[in-house]
Amino acid sequence: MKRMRRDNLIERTAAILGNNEGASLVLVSILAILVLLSVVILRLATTTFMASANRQLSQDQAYELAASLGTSIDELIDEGRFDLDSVKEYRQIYPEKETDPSKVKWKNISNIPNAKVKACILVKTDVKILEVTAIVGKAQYVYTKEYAS
Amino acid sequence: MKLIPKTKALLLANKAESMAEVLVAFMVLTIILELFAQGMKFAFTAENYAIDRTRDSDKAMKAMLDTAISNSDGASSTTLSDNEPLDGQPGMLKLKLYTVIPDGGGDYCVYAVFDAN
Repeated sequence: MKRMRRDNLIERTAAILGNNEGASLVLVSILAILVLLSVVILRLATTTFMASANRQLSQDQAYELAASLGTSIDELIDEGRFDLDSVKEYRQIYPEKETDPSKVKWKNISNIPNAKVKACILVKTDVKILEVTAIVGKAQYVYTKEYAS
Repeated sequence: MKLIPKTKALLLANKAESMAEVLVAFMVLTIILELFAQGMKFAFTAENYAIDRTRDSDKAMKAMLDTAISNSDGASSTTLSDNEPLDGQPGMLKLKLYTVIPDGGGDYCVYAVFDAN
């Protein structure tokens, strides 16, 4: 057999293939790489699938938080207990009154991990928008309702 | 030499098939097939878990809504606060917590729901 450098992998592999030596091992190695690759892909896909299923509860929790706060505020506006006309520019109304848009305050829900909610009124030229944002873990739900100025 | 005839010739020739080589190849194949079997098992477990989890979440959401609307006993409710402020005015909102325990056990599903006071 032709003498060659031990550290040259490509040359060695080519020589093995050329001489028919270790052919089944090479074929099995290629097969192993393919199967391992498919296992990795399978693992990634199922992990994503599980994460998506886990996120459903958070999405439901975020939806309930935002939608219930939004409809409650809407009810208070309809009943005239919250005067929307008095809002002339951006205003955060829940959990605290705040007129500076850069100072966002959140209400943390202690019984649900990583859950927080806030509500604010955005003032546009001819509409006022009630915007309620709820975040639970990685899930976020934004409830909006427009009111004519 | 082209690749396909070369591979064919390689496979037909018996020169390369020493006992050690076949044994090692067999071991490598066994290991990767075991890995693949484990991967498939994990995938089926994950699928069942995802189906159960989604069904539990849907059931819990329905039980919570039934309790909130018609006071059925599908979920237990506690008032977290009935003095939540709105625009600086206290006592405008109340915050209730609904807890649903899935039928087959598992994690509690907890929902926080606001209501006008």
